Amino acid sequence: MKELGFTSLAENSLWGVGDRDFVVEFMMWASLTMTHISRMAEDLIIYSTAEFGFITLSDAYSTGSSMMPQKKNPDSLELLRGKSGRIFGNVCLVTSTSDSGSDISLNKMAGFLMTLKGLPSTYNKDLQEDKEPLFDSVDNVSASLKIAEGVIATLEVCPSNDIIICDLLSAQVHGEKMRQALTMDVLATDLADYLVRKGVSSLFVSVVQLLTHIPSLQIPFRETHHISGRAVALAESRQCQLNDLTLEDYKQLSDKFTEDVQSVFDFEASVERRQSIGGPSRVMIDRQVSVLRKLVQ
Amino acid sequence: MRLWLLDEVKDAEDSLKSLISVMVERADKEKDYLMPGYTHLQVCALPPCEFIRTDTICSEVNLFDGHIFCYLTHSPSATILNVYNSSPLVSPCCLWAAEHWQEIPSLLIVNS
Repeated sequence: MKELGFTSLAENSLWGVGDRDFVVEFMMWASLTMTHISRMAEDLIIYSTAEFGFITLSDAYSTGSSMMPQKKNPDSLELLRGKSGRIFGNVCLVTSTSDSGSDISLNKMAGFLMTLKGLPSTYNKDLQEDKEPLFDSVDNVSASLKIAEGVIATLEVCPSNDIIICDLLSAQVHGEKMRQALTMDVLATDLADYLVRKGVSSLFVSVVQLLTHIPSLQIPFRETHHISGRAVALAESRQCQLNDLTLEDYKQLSDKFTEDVQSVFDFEASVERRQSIGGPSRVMIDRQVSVLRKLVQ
Repeated sequence: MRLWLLDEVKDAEDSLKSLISVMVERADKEKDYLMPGYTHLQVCALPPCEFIRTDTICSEVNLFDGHIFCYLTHSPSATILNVYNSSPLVSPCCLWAAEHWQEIPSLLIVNS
């Protein structure tokens, strides 16, 4: 038993011949794994479009369009997304009919759970239907994982803050795209946080303080959130960025704004302020990396 | 078929570990690159904090490869534990499954 790699014996012979849970279990795992691969593929497809332009797939994992030579299609990622549907079908698809018979594989392997459902105990000849869907799931999930690794290992990231080192002819365009995507309005939350630190006060709060004799306290985020929202609206109406508004503009929204408001408009600093677990600051990325490294050791 | 699948599970596990390793190393190497964060496929301009899924993107600006790759890596890494759990299930013991099936969801939650 141990030499064969099993952890225990079959204590019941009827169960031993009739059990196919291990087949279903593997195909379920393959389905869940492919769900993750498929969602990741979708993210990367979007980021690789000309509209986003954040990443470029290596030529080995993409093809030119058959019609439009300017296009570079993310075939590998689309196939990964497509394979996921096939693997779900192996385990739980009810039925699949196709007049044209174009997708023979799916027609032949219509959901192994549907074969198991309603079978009497122990062995029945129906169980031989486990082979095709299981072999198909094994082949496709193994291939998909290897392809996903190749795609990720070779894709190029077009960074926003390293435009100069990018290739001038191709990647710089992407770099500019990424830089454009980082608009100042993404820092609106930081603007609200800034006011929280400044201890902004409103008329309502002032009246409450007057009535209750509570000394001035830091004001909750929901309050500064509204002020920040008005700043965004003002910038929008003038078709400018948040950092283009003058100090006078800001002072009209709240008297707590001072010259140092410009310090808010710094993307790197914004990221570094996210220091709690799960955040994107460098120290928290390092934490995630070390957790994941341990997992695959 | 159990023996055959036992070998194949080990192969799939190796492939998954290898994929995760590549992603983690890229995340570490390229953690300084910035990109916008997205929810609902939109840049999170002035997001109400309570609506941001904590497992997605917690800030409006991300270190691209660092945060996004770590996020992308966390998803499949949850399933790696499931591979470990699949291996004993290949073993011909219904008792094992009866004793341990309840642990699988909790193991996944811990790591997802």
